[in-house]
Amino acid sequence: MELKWTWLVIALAVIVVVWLVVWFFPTPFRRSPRNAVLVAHAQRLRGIPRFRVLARRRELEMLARVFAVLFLIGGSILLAGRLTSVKTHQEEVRNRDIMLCLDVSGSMVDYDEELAREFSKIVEGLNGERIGLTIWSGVAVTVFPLTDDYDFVVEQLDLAAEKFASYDYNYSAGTYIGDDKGSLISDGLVSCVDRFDRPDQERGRAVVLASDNDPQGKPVFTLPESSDYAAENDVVVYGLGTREMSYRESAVQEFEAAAENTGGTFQLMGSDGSTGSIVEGINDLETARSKEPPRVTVIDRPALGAGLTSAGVLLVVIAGVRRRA
Amino acid sequence: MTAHLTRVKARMSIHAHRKVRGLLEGEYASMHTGRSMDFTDLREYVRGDDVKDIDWKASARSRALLVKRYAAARKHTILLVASTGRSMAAMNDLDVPKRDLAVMVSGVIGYLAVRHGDRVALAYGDATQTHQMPPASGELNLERRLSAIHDNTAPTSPASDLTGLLQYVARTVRRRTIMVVISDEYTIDTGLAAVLRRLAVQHEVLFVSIGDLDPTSIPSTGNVVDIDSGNVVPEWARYDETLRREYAALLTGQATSMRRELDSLGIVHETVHDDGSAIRAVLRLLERHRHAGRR
Repeated sequence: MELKWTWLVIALAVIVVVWLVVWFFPTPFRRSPRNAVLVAHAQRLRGIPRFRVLARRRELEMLARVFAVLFLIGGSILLAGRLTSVKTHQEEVRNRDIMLCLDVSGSMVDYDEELAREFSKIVEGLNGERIGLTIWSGVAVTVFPLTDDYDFVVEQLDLAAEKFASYDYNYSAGTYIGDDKGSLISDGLVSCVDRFDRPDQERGRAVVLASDNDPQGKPVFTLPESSDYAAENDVVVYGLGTREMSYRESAVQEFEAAAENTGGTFQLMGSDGSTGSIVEGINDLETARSKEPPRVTVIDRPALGAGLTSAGVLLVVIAGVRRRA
Repeated sequence: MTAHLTRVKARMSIHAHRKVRGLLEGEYASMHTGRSMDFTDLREYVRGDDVKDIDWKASARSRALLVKRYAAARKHTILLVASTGRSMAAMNDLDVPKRDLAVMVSGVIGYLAVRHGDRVALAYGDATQTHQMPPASGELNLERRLSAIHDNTAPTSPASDLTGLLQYVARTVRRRTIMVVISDEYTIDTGLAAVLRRLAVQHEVLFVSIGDLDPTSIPSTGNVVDIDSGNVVPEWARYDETLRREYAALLTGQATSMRRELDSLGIVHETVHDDGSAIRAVLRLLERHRHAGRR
């Protein structure tokens, strides 16, 4: 709440105060009225009971009028000063894009189900982020692109979890094109990175990459290459490995290096509340701020002034009615 | 110069010519027994009486020596005691200040006295000061005294204090006078009663009250200010019928108790309510004084 024309309020308030001072302090500004009829012993009037009754009545009436005038003046000053409140609209643009990038090779299906269910829960708490789901093995397939239609996302994630649980290979059809290639993590990552749209916008981009890093066949990109490509596109990779990977030291190290290269993390699933830390990481992902300045809206607040003025008018009318009566 | 007295004379001749003439001819009752052409009564001779005064024929008839007594043709002193506090500068009605009425009353009495050959003295004052002008005869001296009353009564004067003024008179005036008190008192409090009782022993006291303007009956707009307190009489108090009635009742009550008080002191009293009845009131006062029991 602030006044738009503070100087006007100050000027008016000073005028009113000066007027009140002149009004209330009889000397030296006010002398006894000129041309007055002088009467002696008129003080006798004041002792008469009827006088006191009249005086009391008058006092109430005057009190109402004084308040009426004060309300009117105060309300008018407030209205004149334009009481406004400033609202800064800086909508927190939570424009992160998260791509779930799941390896659907046979060894990963159990984990995929778990991950899908977990994300289905997470999505419910999101606001503004976009989620996409890409599955890959030899080839990457978009299940659904980045979207903030959460109902749809939840529906799709639940469906995916269900399909994974029932080993429905129809669901992952298209990821395996019969060239004996499978679980190509580097190609999968590049495909996922390519699925981020709006490259010109500053958005936080993350890929949750779940894989056992056990590529079959020769990929187009090596893992470091794909990791560099992700980094180049400002995509953070959160890697999730399987428990079984712990037996393959080199695979873990490779995966971890690829993730950390992009500023992400790598974890083995199920080792310690896996998805929880992924969520934390995603939350930490810096939200890209939109470049537009915060919108400042100045809203007039005439309610107080108008209320005071109305009360004043009402009192004036009431006092007038009383006087009539 | 002689504005005040001229006005008084004019008013007297218009209003009450016959009555005034009667008064002038009849003069007022002498207080003194002394030498003059006017025989009053006889009394027994006591040693020291002038032998010339022995009424031989009467003595022969009554077998005792009788001497004639005469009403003294001595000049009387009329002492005007005028309160000149600021309350006397207030209005009696919308046109006439009480001061003018006080001057009129003093002028009528003073003129009668001057025409009678008596001398007129003046004592006037308010809460802070008291003054005296010695007895003097002649219209010019009377005019000066009237001017003193007129000029010393102003709205800026100190408050009225009749008790103080009368105490001053009791202290300073030694001679026996016919004393005319002109004030606007509306009650006789104990202090005033005491000093009046004291003065009534020494003087013939006549008491003239000047009435006030009733603030509840002022028809015009404009401010009405109480001269003593400086308070404005609120406008709403001036139009209320009930208040007017109650105020009138209060005034009547006060006037009655004042009259009773003064009667008990043996002081002749008259209230001058307005300009029109002023002279009549004064003449009524003098008439009553003439017929009052002599002491």
